[in-house]
Amino acid sequence: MIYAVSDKLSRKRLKELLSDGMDVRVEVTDDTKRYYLDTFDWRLLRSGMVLEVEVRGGLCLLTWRELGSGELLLSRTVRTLPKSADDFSNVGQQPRLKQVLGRRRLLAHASLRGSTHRFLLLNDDEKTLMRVELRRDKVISSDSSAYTQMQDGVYFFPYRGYDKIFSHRLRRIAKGAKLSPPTEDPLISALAALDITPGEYSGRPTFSLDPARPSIDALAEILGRLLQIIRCNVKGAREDSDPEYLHDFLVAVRRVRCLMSRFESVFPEERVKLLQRDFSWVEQEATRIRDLDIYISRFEDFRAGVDEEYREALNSLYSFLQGEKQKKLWQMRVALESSRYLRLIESMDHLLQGCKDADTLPPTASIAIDRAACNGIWNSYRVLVETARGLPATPRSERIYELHQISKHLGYQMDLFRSLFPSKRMERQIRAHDRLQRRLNRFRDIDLQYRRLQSYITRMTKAQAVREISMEAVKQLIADRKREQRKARSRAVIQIEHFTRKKMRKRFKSMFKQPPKGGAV
Amino acid sequence: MKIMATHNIKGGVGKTSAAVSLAYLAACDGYRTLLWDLDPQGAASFCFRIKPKVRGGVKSLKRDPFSLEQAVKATDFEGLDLIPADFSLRNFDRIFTRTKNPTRHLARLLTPLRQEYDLLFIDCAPSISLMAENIFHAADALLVPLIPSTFSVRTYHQMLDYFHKNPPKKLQLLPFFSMYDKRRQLQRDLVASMSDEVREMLNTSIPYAKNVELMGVERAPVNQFAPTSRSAVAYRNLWREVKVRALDDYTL
Ligand SMILES: Nc1ncnc2c1ncn2[C@@H]1O[C@H](COP(=O)(O)OP(=O)(O)O)[C@@H](O)[C@H]1O
Ligand SMILES: [Mg+2]
Repeated sequence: MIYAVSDKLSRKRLKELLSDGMDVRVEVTDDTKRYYLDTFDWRLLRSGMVLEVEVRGGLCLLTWRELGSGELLLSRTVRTLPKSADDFSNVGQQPRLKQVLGRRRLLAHASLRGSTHRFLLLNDDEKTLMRVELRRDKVISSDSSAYTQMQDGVYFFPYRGYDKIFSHRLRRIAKGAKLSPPTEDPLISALAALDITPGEYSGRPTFSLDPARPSIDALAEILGRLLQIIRCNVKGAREDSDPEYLHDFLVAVRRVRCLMSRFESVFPEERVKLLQRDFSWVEQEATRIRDLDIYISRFEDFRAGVDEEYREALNSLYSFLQGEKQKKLWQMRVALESSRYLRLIESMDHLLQGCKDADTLPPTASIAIDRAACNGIWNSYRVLVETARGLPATPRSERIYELHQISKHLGYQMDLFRSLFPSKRMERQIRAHDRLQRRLNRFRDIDLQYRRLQSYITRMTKAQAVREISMEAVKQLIADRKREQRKARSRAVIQIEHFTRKKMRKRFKSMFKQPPKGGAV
Repeated sequence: MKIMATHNIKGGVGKTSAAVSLAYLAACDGYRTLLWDLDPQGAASFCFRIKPKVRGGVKSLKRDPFSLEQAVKATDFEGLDLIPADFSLRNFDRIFTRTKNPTRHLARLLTPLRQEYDLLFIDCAPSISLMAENIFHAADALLVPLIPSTFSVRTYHQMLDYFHKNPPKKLQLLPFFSMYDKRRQLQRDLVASMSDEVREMLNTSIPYAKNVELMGVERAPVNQFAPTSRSAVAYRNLWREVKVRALDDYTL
């Protein structure tokens, strides 16, 4: 439980109030270091939780509590700072934490320095019955150059089995010292002091669009948001502090490319061509690393695919992949820090600014967005159906790649424009498309893994002496990928057929072929 | 939740000292740990400055297994909780003898706590009784402290005989030497011969040391008040070995 101290509460007074005739032991730490941990996209905070770590004498005291109320969920000493939910396995499988964090990494978002007075209420056996902490913290800026003093806080820690005395003393102190719940959680204050606004961020923004709005206007809004996502993630992607930065960065880049190519005629032609070329370059740079990230993060699954005695031997492949990633990461870092990249973002900004200036725009720019969206979705779907026509039972990979690409564009449009259509029917189509996209993604991932492994193995042997057993292990893995690839291929084909069958075609036609009533120009 | 119990038919061999130390070390390692003081004398509770519980008593457990949850007390150490001893526990056998499946009661009582803790240490009273049988049924591993003497060798063999006749489902035996005085030739010989003879014997032995005795005076685990002492080092090694042998999620 957390309380803010409004008047200056003296330590003596606090001790008196807590004691009420019993013994109180005071421990003082003059330089406490505290960190707030969360994922890059603030998953904990957004689920109303705070994970705080205090470094004390080589150990880390972990406190997991509710945002605002300060209700304690877990309090534990650990040896090292946890990096992800996996590091909590020793601390009991905390399913709730795992659910919230997923595979994301925990990052230190704010660091505090300060002094802590710890008051322990003791009974006649000198057993601690509860703990109260008076904290006086400063928030340190990320480059350690500046700090902001925080409001003093009083933290109450109950001990299991001693609830009665806890609530008694809590009431007594709150009343006697005129404590009030803080207007905001200390975490929020700390972030505010650092000029960080969490919670706004979503890698998958939603839009509620007015169907009658000129399409250039609506598209500019969407592109603007996507550009924002690109901006907010580029630093994390460069530094690789969590693979999810890169993921969100990349998805936003792909969506931008998709919109600009699908709605080419709405924008000034020359400028869009140049932008497309540069975004395509950025996408390439980032995709290479994303593919390696997928590889590395699922490596344990790969291990499971080979015989037990070879699993260990896959380590050399693992380190090879890590090394490969470092190389590619360096390349991407150079690209994303280059003036070419900066110019690209700038010109994109320019383009969006220019969208307000009707004179410079082609006449198609004023078509209502619902009509444009219908056309876009319907065209993409039609191309998908065309491309899927006469698909053999085991099509060549290139053909599925092509379908994968078209399907992605279809999906982006359905997602970004979903608010323009009757929600129930739209959800159904989106779900059907999701199933297809998942199958196609899986095929693409496995197929790439299969192909790349062949080239890795040659390069590994060139670069260093590889043990016989490691070679054998990689060969087994290739065989395993081949099997999985075959499975994924036939599953993808089934899903493609399903998605382009007559009933589905009818549904798409009825929803997107005719412009919906109203709104049309 | 993994359950480990310290057990020996004899008293005064270092069961409580081991349970207190290992539970403390487990909590320091980040395991959510619970220590259940099942000896009516309450030595483990005393070490953690927790008063024995009297209200309700063991009888209430028979009616309402959830009352065990309400008996849990936090120790002064992060991650370590304790169920205090209760004088009424001495009636355990009498109360539960005539019930159905009299050896399964303990296991059932623990159900509500299973999700909350990673490890439970049970500190047993000396004896083979219905209570002990309950523990053999519920526990995954039995830590058996042995004083290096010909008597304790015999006791251990008696215990093995007992398990031959009443084979437990999953119980792993982890005997180790306790109160070992290296200066004594006889003890040295015995430790050497027993280590060869008993394959499951842990490599770590706990030395005879003043600091272990001081746990009852300091009322805290030795690894807390004298972390660099010989006995603290020994308990740390013992814990490391127990982890490797009994916790499958742990690899060296
Ligand atoms: N290794 C040791 N060295 C010295 N004294 C010990 C040691 N182990 C236990 N003792 C002491 O022996 C007595 C009995 O130990 P305890 O751990 O309570 O055994 P049990 O639980 O088997 O009865 C206690 O006074 C304890 O302090
Ligand atoms: Mg004892």
